[in-house]
Amino acid sequence: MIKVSHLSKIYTNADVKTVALDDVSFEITQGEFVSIMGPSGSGKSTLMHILGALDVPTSGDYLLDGQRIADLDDDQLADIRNKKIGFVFQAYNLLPRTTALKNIMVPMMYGGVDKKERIKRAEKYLKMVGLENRIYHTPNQLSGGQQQRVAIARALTMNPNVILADEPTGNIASSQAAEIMRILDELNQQGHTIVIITHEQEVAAYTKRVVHLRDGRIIDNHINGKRRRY
Amino acid sequence: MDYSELISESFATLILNKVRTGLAMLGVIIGIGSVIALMSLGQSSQKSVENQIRSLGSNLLTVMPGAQNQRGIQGAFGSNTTLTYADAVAIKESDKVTTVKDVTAEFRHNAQVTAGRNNANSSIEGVTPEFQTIRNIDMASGSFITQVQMNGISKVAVLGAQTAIDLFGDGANPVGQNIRIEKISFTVVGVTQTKGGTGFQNPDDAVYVPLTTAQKILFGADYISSIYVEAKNEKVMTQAQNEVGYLLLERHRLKDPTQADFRIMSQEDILGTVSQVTGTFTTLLAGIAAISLVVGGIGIMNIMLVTVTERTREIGLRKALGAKKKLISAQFLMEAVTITFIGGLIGVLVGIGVSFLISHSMGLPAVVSIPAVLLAFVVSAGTGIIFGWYPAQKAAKLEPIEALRYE
Ligand SMILES: Nc1ncnc2c1ncn2[C@@H]1O[C@H](COP(=O)(O)OP(=O)(O)OP(=O)(O)O)[C@@H](O)[C@H]1O
Ligand SMILES: [Mg+2]
Repeated sequence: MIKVSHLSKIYTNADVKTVALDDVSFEITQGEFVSIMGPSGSGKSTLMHILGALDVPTSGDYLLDGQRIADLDDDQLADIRNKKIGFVFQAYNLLPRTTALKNIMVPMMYGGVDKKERIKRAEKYLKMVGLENRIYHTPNQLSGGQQQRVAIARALTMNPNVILADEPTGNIASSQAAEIMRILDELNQQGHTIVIITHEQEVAAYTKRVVHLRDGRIIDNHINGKRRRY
Repeated sequence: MDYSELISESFATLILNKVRTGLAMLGVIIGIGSVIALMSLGQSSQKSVENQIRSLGSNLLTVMPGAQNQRGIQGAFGSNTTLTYADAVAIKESDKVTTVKDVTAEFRHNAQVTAGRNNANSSIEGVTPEFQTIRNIDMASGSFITQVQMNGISKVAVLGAQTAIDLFGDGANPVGQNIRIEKISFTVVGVTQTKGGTGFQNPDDAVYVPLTTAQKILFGADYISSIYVEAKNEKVMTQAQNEVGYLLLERHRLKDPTQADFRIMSQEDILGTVSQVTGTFTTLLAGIAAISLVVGGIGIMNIMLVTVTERTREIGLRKALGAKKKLISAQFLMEAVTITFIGGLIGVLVGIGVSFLISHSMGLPAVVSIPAVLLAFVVSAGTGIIFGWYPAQKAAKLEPIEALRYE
């Protein structure tokens, strides 16, 4: 379902070239639960942005459900981001001064979901991430972990096939991290394909497959034999 | 996402930034408000002048001297000395003039009038008794100039309502008292009722004296300023104009109308000229006001550009979550239009309020310029679209990941 071949991403700023991704190829099939690991600056977020159709590679190909992403125009990309992919950002990226409920409803607003249904779904997913008592809180009234969970709930509302989460447990206590991994595992069991970035061994242990990046290259890609369950 | 949602979304964002929204709106409020106020005031003063002219009756002809080409230069109205009282008498008595009911002559000159310590610079009008009926003058007290006073070259005066107040104070009865015009003592024999006019030859500011007195005693002139001719009815106006015209040409020994050393104007002619002048004036005022509207529009563009820059991350996020280009630009455009439309609405109300206040205090009829109001709505929405367009396009073109990285 996700197939990348020979992906490269080179940033050029004031004649300085930074190679963020260097000839990356791999495949992820429907229903997988993959973690991407690697040290800081190894290109994890860069890869994730390309997989999320938010950024374009300098060279190489990316096929999502057999569709070449490079062939799509802006509005088609917007549609894919809206319906096929649920993205959880490393920095949460919630709308400031906007309630949790409204934040969660943004993708549904752009996806043409009718108003009643939006509220129903938003409440359902807020409950799922355990924030039914924080519906009208704005981001600055929520803890980091709670904002992270709002961001996860937001990624789920359009029932996307693929969920991409950039360090979903990055800034939160390990007790909350386990809770988030439980949610993701549950979603995976429901059939969603999930890709997460982490640099914590403990978190990666929950996933079915681990991909290691270093300096923009894949150095390891293996099935997680001793998979940990929450 | 439909329009009602787009509108409620932009309301929500605008309310989040109350002060900025308010300031952006202020530009539109002032722009639209001044357009409405100035156009309404323009129309109201135009209407006031028209009312004044109409109140003299539609069967009145005014004959003025001059205004013919003299050595290639157009003489100003009334600067000529070609009309005489004999002309007025001839119009009234000639067999060739069949459509005229009554005629009066007037000699007009500004002069200093004093009563005790008070003084006023008034228009001294030497008139014949017929002036009262032809120009619809009502007396508040005393009586108008009589034929006996005219024949006797009497030093009597009738004061306009305002002049009476200026010279003797409010509520006093000047009849029987003395005033001095050009240092010559006159007895006040009457005071006219107020006509409530403004500017343009305000009859309330006049002092009426017998024509003979004005010519022989005050100003030593043998000509007159104008002849007023009352036609028998409205239908014979053109005929009356022709009859009077040819009679005067004959009396002045001129061969044809192109040589005429006088002008005959109906109230409609005067109305046309005045309307043209006040219309130009109104347009000029509206033009000045429109400039402030443009300035307001630029203010909005400025604020929208700042908003786009400031909300770059938000725009990136919205695109990342599936917003299409059109929706992003529609959202920003809607915000701009919401500002200008609400600003326009308030501006219209403020403009109407201000024009009512001013016209009330100046005693003008209250007029709301409906075309100006309609125009204001179109223009305010248009301002939003024009000045919101560029920032909205700028927002829509942002790349999602670049925008999300923006700091
Ligand atoms: N816009 C950019 N311009 C130039 N270089 C960039 C840009 N974005 C990322 N890079 C570089 O690309 C490399 C990979 O960055 P990336 O954000 O993918 O790292 P990461 O693996 O997600 O790190 P972390 O674990 O700290 O989040 C880094 O060396 C970074 O400096
Ligand atoms: Mg990263």
